[in-house]
Amino acid sequence: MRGLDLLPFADEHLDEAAELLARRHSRQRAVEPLLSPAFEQPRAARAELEAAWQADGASGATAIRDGRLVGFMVGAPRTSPLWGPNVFVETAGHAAEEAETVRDLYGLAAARWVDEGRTSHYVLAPATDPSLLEAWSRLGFGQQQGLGIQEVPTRPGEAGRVEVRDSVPDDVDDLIALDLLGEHQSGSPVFSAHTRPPEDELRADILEEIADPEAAMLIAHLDGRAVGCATVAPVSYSSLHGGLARPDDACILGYAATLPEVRGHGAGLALTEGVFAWARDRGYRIIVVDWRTTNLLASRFWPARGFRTSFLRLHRSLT
Amino acid sequence: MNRIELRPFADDQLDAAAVLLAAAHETHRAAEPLLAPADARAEVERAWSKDDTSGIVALRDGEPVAYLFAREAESPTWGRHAFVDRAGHAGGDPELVRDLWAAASEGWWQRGARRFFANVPSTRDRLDPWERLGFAQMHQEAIRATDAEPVAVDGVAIRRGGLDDIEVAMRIGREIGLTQSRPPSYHELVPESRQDWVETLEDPEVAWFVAERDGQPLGHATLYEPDPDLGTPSDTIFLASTATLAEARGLGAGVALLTHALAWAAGEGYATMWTNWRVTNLLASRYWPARGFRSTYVRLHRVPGIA
Repeated sequence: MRGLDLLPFADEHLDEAAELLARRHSRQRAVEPLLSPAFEQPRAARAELEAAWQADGASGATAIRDGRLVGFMVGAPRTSPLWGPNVFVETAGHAAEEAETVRDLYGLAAARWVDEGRTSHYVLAPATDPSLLEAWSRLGFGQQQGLGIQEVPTRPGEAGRVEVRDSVPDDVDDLIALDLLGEHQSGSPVFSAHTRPPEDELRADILEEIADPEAAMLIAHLDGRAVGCATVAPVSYSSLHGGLARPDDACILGYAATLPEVRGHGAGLALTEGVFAWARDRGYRIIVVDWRTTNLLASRFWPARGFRTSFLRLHRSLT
Repeated sequence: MNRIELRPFADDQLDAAAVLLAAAHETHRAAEPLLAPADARAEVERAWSKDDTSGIVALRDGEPVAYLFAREAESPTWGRHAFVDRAGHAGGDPELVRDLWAAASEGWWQRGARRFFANVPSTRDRLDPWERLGFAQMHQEAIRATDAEPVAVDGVAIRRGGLDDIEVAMRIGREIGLTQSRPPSYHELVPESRQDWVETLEDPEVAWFVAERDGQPLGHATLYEPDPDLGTPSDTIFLASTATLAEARGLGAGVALLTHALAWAAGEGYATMWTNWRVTNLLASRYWPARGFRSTYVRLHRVPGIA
C-alpha cells in the first residue's frame, strides 16, 4: 500500500486532518480567490471537519506515512430519501497530500459504507484540482453537479426586449407553468428521476418565496407573456453551497428557467442581469449558482455568463 | 451549438464518418505511436454493422463534422445497455460528443437501456466531454512493446502449462475475482467457469504460463491474440487473466512471469503486448503502468443517478 498505514478515522486525527484540509483550501484559493479565506486557517477548517465527523452515521479513513497524516476521508449519510441509501463526503470531507492516496482512503472508508448498505456515494470535490478529479474518476465516480462562482458584475449588462421584474402573488399561475427544470432534466442526457410536487404544494412554496423579503423571485415577460423566472437569495439558503464552498458576502441564483420556445430571444440573459442587479442593490459581492453537468443548456449557459466552477459533486452507484 | 444540425446516422454517412475517424485516430496515434494505423472505413463499417446499432451525425452547413453511434444489447450482468465502440465516435470538436450522445441516448433510454458504456481514447481532451456527461472510468486498455529480457528470480520457475493445470488456473482466477469484488472495485463476484478454463487451456492459440516455487504455484499469465479493433496492432498479443497469488506477492514472481511472457511474445513475432485492468482495482491500476504499459483506451461507464 505504497508505505501507507490506513486506519479508520478517529477523534485523534482531527487536528492533523484540519491542517491538511486548510492547505487544500489554500491551494484552491490560489486558483479561485473568491472562496472564503477563513478556511485557510486550521481552526476554521477543523470546525467544518468536526461538524462532518460528528454527523449521524459518520465514518471514514486516514492514511499515515512515517507517522504523519497524509490523507483523510470522512463521510456521513444525508437523511433525504432523494439520495437513496447514501454517503456524502462533504466539502470538508477529504484531503490528501497526493491525489492517489484518495483511492486508498476510499477503499477503506467505502468498505464500511457498503457493509451498512449505503451504495450511493457522493463527493464534493474541488473542481480546481485536476489530479484529484482524475483520482475520483478512476474510482468510478462520475460528475453530477457543478458549483459556479463569480463576482457580481459592477455594471449592468445590455437590456433587451425582455422585461424582468419582481414577482407578485398574482404571478403564481405563470410561475407554476415555469417550473420546468425537473421535467427538462428527466430527459436526455440528464435522465434524472423527477416527480413533480402536487400543485397546491408548489403554489404554497412559490407564494412563500415571493413573500420572503430576503430573497427575490424574478419573472420575465416577452411581448406580454411570462416566459421565464429566476430566484435569488442569500447563500445561507443553500445547503449545497455550504462549508468550504460557501463564499463570504454571497448570494445564490437558485433557480432559472425559460420556456423552450423562447430560447435565443434573450430571456435567460435578461433574467441573469435582473439577478445581478438585485445582488448589486443589496451589496452582495459574490454570486453562486449550480447546474447539472449533464444538463447541456445549463452547463454551457452559466460558464458563458462568467461563472467559474469551484466544486463538483461526483457520484458513484454500486447498485 | 450554432449551425449544427443533428440527424440519425445512416449508411450514407459511412464515408464521411471514415474521414472523421481517420483524422481522430491519427491524432490519437500521435499521442500513442504503438497504436496501429486504421483502415477507418472498414472500422466504422464493422462497428456500424453490428446488430441494434443506432446513432447521430452532426452536420455543419450540410457537412458531417462528428458522429456517434452505439449498439444496444442485453446481458445478465448489465441488463439492457448501449455501448459506443472505439470506432463508434469521432469528430473535430470534442464538445459535440455531448450533443450527439444526448440526441442518440433518447432512443436507447426509451428502449430500456439504463447502463451506458463508451470506449474512448485516453487523452484528456477526448475524456473530458464524456466526464461532463456523467461517465466515470471503468476499464483501462494499455499497450507496451515486447522488448524485455526475462528476469530470473531465485527459486521461481516459469513453465508453459495446459489442461493438467486447470485447478491452478481456476484457483488464481478465483483470486482475481475476489480481489475485484472487494473495495473499492465492488465488481460482482462470478464463479470461475471450469468449462471456460477447459476451453482456454485446450486452445492451441492460447499460451498459459505458470510461475512456481518448489512445485507450488505463485501466479499465472494467459496470452492469446485479441479480436481486431481500432488501434489494436495485428502483431499484438493480449495479456488476459494474469495475477500472482496474495501469498506470493513481493517474491518477484510477477516480474518473472511478465518478462518471460514478453520475451516469449517477442520470439513469436509479436511486437507489442496489450492488456487491460479495472481502474478501481488499486493493485492492478498501479502495477501495470509501473511495468511499462501505456494507456490507450478507457472504457467509461454511466448509470444515471437517483437524484
